[in-house]
Amino acid sequence: MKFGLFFELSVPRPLTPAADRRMYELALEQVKLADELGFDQMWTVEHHFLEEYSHSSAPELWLTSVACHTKNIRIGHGICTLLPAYNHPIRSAERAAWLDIISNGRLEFGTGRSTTWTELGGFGIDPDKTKEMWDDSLRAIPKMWMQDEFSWDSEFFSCPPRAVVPKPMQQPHPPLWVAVSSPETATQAAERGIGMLGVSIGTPAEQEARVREYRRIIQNCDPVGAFVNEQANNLNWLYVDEDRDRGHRMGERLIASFNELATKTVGINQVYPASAYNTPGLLFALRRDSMAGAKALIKDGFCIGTPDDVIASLRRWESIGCDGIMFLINSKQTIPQEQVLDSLRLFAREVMPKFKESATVDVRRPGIVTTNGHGKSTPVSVTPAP
Amino acid sequence: MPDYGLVTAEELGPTTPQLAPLYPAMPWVMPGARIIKLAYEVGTDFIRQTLPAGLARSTPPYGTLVVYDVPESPFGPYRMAAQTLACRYRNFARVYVLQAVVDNPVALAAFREVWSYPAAPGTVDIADGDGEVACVVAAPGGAALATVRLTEIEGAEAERLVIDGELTARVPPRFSTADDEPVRLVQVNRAFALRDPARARFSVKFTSAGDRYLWGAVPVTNLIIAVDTKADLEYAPTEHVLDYFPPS
Repeated sequence: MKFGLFFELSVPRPLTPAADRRMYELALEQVKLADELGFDQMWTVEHHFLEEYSHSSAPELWLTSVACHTKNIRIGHGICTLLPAYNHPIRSAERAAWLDIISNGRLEFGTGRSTTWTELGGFGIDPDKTKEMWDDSLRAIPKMWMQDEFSWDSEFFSCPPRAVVPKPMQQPHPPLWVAVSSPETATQAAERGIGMLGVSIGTPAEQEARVREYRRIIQNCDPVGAFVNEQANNLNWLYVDEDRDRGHRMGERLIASFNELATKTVGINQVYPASAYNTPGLLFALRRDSMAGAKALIKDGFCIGTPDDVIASLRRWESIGCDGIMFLINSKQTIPQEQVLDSLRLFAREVMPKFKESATVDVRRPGIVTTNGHGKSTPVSVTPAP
Repeated sequence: MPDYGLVTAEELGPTTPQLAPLYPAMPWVMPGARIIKLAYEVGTDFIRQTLPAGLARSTPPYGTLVVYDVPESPFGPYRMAAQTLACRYRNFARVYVLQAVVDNPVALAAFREVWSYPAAPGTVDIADGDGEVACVVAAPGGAALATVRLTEIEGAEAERLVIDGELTARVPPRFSTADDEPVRLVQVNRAFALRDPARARFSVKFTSAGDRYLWGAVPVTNLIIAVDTKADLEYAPTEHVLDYFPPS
């Protein structure tokens, strides 16, 4: 099983440039420590206009800084929003290739579309079209990376024959993923042969059928890239403490802070009846949870508590076929930085070794780690790495 | 010993006067209603200055104009239009009812008494045209408060529609003693069965009429979308009377 950090880059009020700088320094310290401790991945969202909740509006810049300050940890777009009004697909391909070069082949290219009116309305994007826009860019970008001369003509963008440069370090291209918060998108990930980046925070029981279906469908996929990236990640919380009560108190603070921020946003379904958004989304679940009281915030499978508690939770995720867990470790700096770092150290010392014994290195693409259980990257046609 | 009357508080009925209450006890069933809801973004400063202190704004701040055309109710037919502001009570998405007009005096009294609904007398006209819907909300005497036009009407899926739960501020009468009831927030307790929904682009213009109909105060900054749907409505007794400030 692989472990990663997941950054929203939230900022407490008052919102000032100094507060953003402080957030950047804290997050960088966390990811540098994670790199030293042997975490496999770090992921960062792309969000716009979500004051406090996420100031990660230019994730490629933050990820570039991370790449320059770390050595081994893989650098994940979690996600790059593939909507031409946010990111022209050619610019997405160019920036990602550069990031892969700067990080020496450590990029994981997560993709997706927005789920809030806050963002789509801000860019004037038709919510009915976002799935099609995402799919169009997703199919074009690997071609930009692999073809000497690329051309495209679709409803959403066109380009006469051009050489899109540079090409990414990883050949034929970095692993592709999509953010998944609904069964429908899990199916679409599998059909396209890309990784499932589960970004809804559920329980193993809630996710089990989704992972199983993903595994089944991806066996007969039509990959959009040059290889099948069969990996299922899921988002989780992380706060580890030798003292269970203290760990739970901090975990509850973390979850409550995140929920409060998340529910300020305006989901598409809340204001716009769009057929392209057919699940109520994360916010409704958070609201339901918020009425259950603080104790109910910590659910089955959440990585909060003692090292033994967290090991037990991760075994549950492992048992349903999850390849990687991405951890939210703080929200709005509600947990003091030293305690966040201590939690990471304790996790690395007491928990991580229990799950690393069976890991092997995939020599086909340096830096990719596959477990002997589920996750695998299946090359369809691979050219030698430079 | 005094010869007391025999009527208990519970026997007084849903409202006074006891012998001829204006409306029956709930539930109030209202089949075959029509609801037109416009959603639009509003100015941040305005919503900050307008929401009660226990409610937080969304990002971005937005509001709705909800028009109800109710052909059958315990008060008889009525039309109502309500301006609301989206808000969060704890982590719950709700709308705070800012002001409303109702064209039926019994409905007006019922909504004010039961739900602390900030309703005032007024009229609501709805005209269905060729691929368009026009709607005018007006103060008594005809001064327009909201002028609405729906265009590009197309079908929508009922399960994608959200009609937000409404909160009102219950401000009890002040007494000369120090025993004032606290101001509370009341959640309007209603259920919808939506059918045959459509969505549409729209235009809206709010204007004020005198100093009691300040509909023009709402600064609309960006239009989102309108929905026009049939609905069976049912209002039930109050379940949630909330502290003005949510528990921390």
